[in-house]
Amino acid sequence: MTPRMGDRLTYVAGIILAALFLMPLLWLVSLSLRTPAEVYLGAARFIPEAPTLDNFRLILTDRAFGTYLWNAVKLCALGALGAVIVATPAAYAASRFSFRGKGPVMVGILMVQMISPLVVIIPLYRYLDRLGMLESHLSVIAVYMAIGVPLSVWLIKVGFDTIPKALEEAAAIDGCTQFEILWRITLPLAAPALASAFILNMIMGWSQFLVPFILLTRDGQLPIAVAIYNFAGSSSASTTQLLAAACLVAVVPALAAFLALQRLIVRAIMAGAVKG
Amino acid sequence: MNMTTARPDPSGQAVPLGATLQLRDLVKRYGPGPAAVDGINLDVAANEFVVLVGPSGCGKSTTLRLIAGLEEVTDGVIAIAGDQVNHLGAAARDVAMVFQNYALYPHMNVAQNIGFGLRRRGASRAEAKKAVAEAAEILELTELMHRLPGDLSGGQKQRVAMGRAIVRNPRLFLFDEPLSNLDARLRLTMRTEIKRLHARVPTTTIYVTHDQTEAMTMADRVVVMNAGKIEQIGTPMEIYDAPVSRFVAGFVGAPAMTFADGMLDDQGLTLNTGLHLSCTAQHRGPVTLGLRPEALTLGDSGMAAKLDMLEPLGAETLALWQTEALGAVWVRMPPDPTLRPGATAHLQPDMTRAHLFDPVTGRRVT
Repeated sequence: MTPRMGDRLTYVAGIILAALFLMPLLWLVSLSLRTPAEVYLGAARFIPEAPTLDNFRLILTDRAFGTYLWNAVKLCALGALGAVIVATPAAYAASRFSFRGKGPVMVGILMVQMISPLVVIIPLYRYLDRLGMLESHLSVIAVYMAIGVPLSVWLIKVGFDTIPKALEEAAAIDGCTQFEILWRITLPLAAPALASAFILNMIMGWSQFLVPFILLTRDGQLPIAVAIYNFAGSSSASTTQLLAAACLVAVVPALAAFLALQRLIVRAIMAGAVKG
Repeated sequence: MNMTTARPDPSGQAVPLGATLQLRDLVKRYGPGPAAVDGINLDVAANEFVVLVGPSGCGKSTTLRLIAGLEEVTDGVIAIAGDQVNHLGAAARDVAMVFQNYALYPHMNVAQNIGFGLRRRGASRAEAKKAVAEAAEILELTELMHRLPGDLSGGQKQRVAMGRAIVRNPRLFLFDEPLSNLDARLRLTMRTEIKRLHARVPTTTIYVTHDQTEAMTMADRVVVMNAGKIEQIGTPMEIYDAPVSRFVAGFVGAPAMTFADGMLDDQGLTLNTGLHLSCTAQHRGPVTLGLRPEALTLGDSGMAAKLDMLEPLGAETLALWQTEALGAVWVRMPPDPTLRPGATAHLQPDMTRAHLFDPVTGRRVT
C-alpha cells in the first residue's frame, strides 16, 4: 500500500468516526432550532425551514433551568477544588519524599481510579444514608472529590517532579519556612498542573449523572444533567425542541472549557513524559 | 560568642563582616558503605576565600550542603562565628548559596529574585528595593531588572544568582560549582568577576569546584578532598609546590605530573627502568618519583627522548616527549618554531624540583 493510499484510508476512517460522534450532536442542534411543528417532521427536516432561537430563549430565561445550571457548576467546581486541595499534599509527598512502599501506594491510588462509581454507588448510598448526608450537595461534592483525587494526585505529582529541588533549597536559604516554600515557590510553579487537574475534574464532574441522580431527589438541588433526564421522562414530544436546547446549553460549557484549555491539559499530562 | 564584627559602609549602615567557620570531625553518611564526608576538620578565617576541590564524588558538594544546612550532619560540629549551627535549618544560618544550575525562581523577575531573601527576612519594601538596586549596580544588572530568568543568558543568570547572594550581606558565601554550566570564555570572565566581587564585598567564601585551575586561581586557600577526606589544606602555591600525597600531586597542575617508580638508596634514586638520578632525600626504600612539566629541561645529557606532540599556547609551548626511562612526559618549554614532532633530544630532570612519594601509602617522603 502506498503511503498516500494509507493517508486516504486514515482520513476515511477519521471521517466515519467523527460522523458517528457528531451526528447526535448535529441532530440535537437541528432539533433545538425547530419550531414545535417542525419537530414532528423528524429526519426529513434535518435543516429546519424556519430556524428559531426561541427554544434557547425559553430555556435560558427559565428560572428553574438557571438553578439546575448553577447547581451543576457549584457541585463540579467545589468537587474539583476539593479534589485538587486533597491531592496536592499527597502529590507533594509522592514527588519529594522517599518512603517505604511508595511505589505500591502510588499504584494503589491509580487502581482506585479504575473502580467504576457504578460498583460502589449502592454501598455509598447506604453509608451516606446512615450518616444522614443524603439529599445534600455536600455528599455529592465529597463523592466527586473522591472520584477526582487519584488522577489529580498523579497529574500534580508529575507537575511537582518538573520543579527542580534546588529552587526549594534556594528558598530555604533565602529564609523561607517549609510552608512558605510550598506557598511561594512550589505551588506557583506547579500552577499549570494544578489548573489542569482542576479543569479535568470539572469536566469529569460535569458529565456525572449517576451520582447526583442517586444521592439527590429534591428538585431544587438537582444539577442540569439529572434535571434534563427528569424533564425528558415527564414531558411529551411537544417539548422535544426545548429538551434539545437544554441539552446543548448543558454540554457547551464542558466542551468550551475543554477546547479552550486542551493545550494546557495536554502539556500537563505530557510533562515528564519526555525528559529534556 | 559571636565573632561577627561590623564595619561602616559608605551609606552609614553597619555591614557585618564575614564570619569564621569551623568544621570539627564532620561526618555525613547516606547509608551503609563509605561515608560521603568522612571526619573532616577545617578552620576558615573571616573573609577568607577557600576553595574545596576534588574529583566528583569526593564529598566537596556534600560538605557545602552540610554547611548550608541542606543536609543533616551525621556526626561532628559545624560552627559559624563560633556558634554551633548543627541544629539550625538553612533559613536560620544566614548563609547565601549560588547553585550550579543557578536555581533562579522562574516566575519572578530579576529584581524579585534578588530581593526575595531580603523580603522573607523582614526587610521593608523600600529597604529591599534600595539593596536590590545596589546589588544590581555592582553586578551590572540594572538594565535587566524586569526580565524573567528564562529570558537571560547563562552569564546573566549567574550574575543574578550572585546578586541574590550578596544582597543580604550573609555571614557566609557558598558557591557550588557555579561556573560549570558556562562556556570556557564566560567561565574565565566570571572567575575574574567573582574574585573582584570578593575584593569589593569581602565575605567568608566557600567555593566548590572540580576544576583545579579555578581552585588555584581563585583561592586564598585550597582544600583538596578525596573519598570524603581532606587530603591537603594550603595556599595554591603550597599545594602546587609541596603536595602532601601522590593524589594531590596528580590532581593539581596541568599538564599532570609524571610519575615513575624506583628505589632510593645511598647512591641515589634508581628508577625501575634503570635510569639513575642523583637525589639528596633522606628516605631509603621504594619511592615514586613525581616530576612536573617545568622540572624537565632540554639538555645535552640525560634521558634520550623523542618529540611526540606539541601544544603551542603562545607564550609557552607544551611538548609531549616519549622517553624510555619515564614513558610519556610533558615538558613546559619556551616557544621554539624549529621543533617538529619526531625530533630527538635529551631531557634533564631538575631533582631539586622533584617530588617523592611512598608507593604504598602515597604520602610525601623527604
